[in-house]
Amino acid sequence: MTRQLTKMLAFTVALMLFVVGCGSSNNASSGSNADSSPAASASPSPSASSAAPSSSAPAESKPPIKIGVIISTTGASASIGTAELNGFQVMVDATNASGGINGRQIELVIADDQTKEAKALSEVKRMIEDKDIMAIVGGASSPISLAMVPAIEEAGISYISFGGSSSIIADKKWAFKIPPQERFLVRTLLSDAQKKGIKKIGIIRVNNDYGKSGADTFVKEAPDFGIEITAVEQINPDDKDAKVQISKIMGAGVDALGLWTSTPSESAVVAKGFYELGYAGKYPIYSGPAVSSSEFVKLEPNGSTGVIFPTYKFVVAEQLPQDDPQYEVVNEFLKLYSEKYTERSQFPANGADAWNLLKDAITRAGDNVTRQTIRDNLESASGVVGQLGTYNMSPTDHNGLDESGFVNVRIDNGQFVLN
Amino acid sequence: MHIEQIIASGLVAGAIYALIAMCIVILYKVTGIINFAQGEFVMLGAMIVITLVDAGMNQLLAACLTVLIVMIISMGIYGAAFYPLRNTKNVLITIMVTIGVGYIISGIAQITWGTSARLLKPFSAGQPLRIGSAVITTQDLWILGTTAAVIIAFFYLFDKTYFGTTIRACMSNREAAKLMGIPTDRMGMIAFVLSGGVAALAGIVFAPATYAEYDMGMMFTLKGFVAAVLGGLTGAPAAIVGGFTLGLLESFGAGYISSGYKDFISFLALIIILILLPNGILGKKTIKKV
Repeated sequence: MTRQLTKMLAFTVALMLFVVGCGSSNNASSGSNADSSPAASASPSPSASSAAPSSSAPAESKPPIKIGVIISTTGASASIGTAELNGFQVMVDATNASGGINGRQIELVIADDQTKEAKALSEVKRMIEDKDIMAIVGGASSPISLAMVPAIEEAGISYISFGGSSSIIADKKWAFKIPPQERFLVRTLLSDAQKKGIKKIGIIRVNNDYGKSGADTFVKEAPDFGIEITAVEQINPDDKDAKVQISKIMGAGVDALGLWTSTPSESAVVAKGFYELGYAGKYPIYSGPAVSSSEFVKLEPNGSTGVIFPTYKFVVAEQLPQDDPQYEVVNEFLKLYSEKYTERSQFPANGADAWNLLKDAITRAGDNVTRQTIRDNLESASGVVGQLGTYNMSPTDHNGLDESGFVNVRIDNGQFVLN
Repeated sequence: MHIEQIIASGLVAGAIYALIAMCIVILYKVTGIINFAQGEFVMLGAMIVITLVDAGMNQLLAACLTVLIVMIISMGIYGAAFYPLRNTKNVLITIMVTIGVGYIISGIAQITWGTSARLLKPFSAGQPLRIGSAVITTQDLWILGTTAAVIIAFFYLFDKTYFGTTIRACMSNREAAKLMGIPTDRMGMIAFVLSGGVAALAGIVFAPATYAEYDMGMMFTLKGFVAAVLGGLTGAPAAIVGGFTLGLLESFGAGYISSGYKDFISFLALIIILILLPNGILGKKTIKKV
């Protein structure tokens, strides 16, 4: 009787592992379309990667350059990841439409990491094995990017990350990132706080690497602006209520609330509590970029008014003064992007700049496009003008940006207003 | 200081945990199954009511309809997954099936409703109540009120009705109940459907206070299970005690010790309490006759 049971148990466990493991895998298969026409780019949907022959593109004799994209199109970071993918895709399509790079079309191999580190890791390993993939782009959040970096460093393939944490690129050879050092964003916020005469800020941060890094940066940079960080409280990503933390901070006496969370819904939980406790409108919230999307406003229409966040000029492109050095680049991309998408946040700009950098690296590689040459060219990128500013990379700086590309935006009844 | 807010938040969270724990304990006592998919029914309740309200239905009507729908879904799941297993000697298999069912439900939820968080308007408008430093929103009052109503309904059901007495009989000794002519298999299904309905109610009443996401079921299952064990898996009163204890523990941990270690503190407290009281707070020593 027990032997039968053990067998049944073992079978059920094996079955469940099988189902869970192979279950919701939405990833694109790479390299399976080597025979079909190379002149195409993959569709933006995460489950399709078939290189459908594009009727308007001429038959190319040179093989396409394959770029892997691992991005969260489902899961908690889905809204951010989808926006980044779309920004990237729009730029790649524009390049392909004007003939590709050095006569070669760009083919994207897209995989959905479902905002799960384990899934991202299995996808990156799969792409590393595909020797045709020249570089990888993606990782909408820091935990996801950090999960993939060790495999990338070991295998030797360039990786451009959308994650914010500086540990993604610190002392790395192959990993690069688009989002600026937190320092720049935090300093942009702090300078506005200083202008408003704020002296004390209490911070609520999400309980992960990204949140910790942001809060630490606040603590480090605040003294430069004459501001004291009185407390740092945490919330877990799936917490539904932050009123205890908010009471604790505001009860101790601060002039503003600092917020560093990684998704719109985490931010909304805090903003909602802030509003319900009656602080909204009386005290400003200085937040990290997670609030820079219309999803945040949708989730918390009341509490979102008055939230100030640092962001890219793309978000308020139309409000930029015409003599701003990035006015043209930003508005050009806005035109391309808004032809296909009504969503507006800072995240498409991440995607666009990933392409700006990659395009520069591939172009300079000429006929010799390999994983190594792309890496070397990315690292030597100089004067590449993008959405976030001008990139000047170096072996010790795989981000390449400075403070000048960022502005403070205030949410006002659902509108993003240049502060 | 801010202790009023700590207590208030703790009680509201505790109310939800108590509801879910009640579902888990009652089902466990009647059938021996620990339903690791209990939280998914909470999620279903929230998601379905939001869909109905978005389609234009009146909130109260939508709530009633949602509970009905989730109860029908529970019936279907019981028939498909658990009825065939009703005679298994080893409940471990059935418990593993619940885990699988949980994944299936959240997977279908993801496909049906997508991955973004969804919003439900509070049941009634109005300024929050202020007691000391605590802010109690109208929705918090709905949560506490609904929980109180469910608890009272259950006590009435168990104490005063014949049906409730038969459930209590099953919970107390399934073999003896069967010998007395009580259809224990049917009782199992009824318990399952009932716990599905109560879980859905918890989801409906909690949804306006937070955001409904397809994967929120897992957290509710875990917290509900911890609350049930904390109380001692003996019956509804134990579950209620366990639920509110867990809610307050979490809140005090976040407020006075550290908000980052909130879960750690709750589980540490769980371990300590179980070491001191191995059968939970209200548990009795279980004696297995050989």
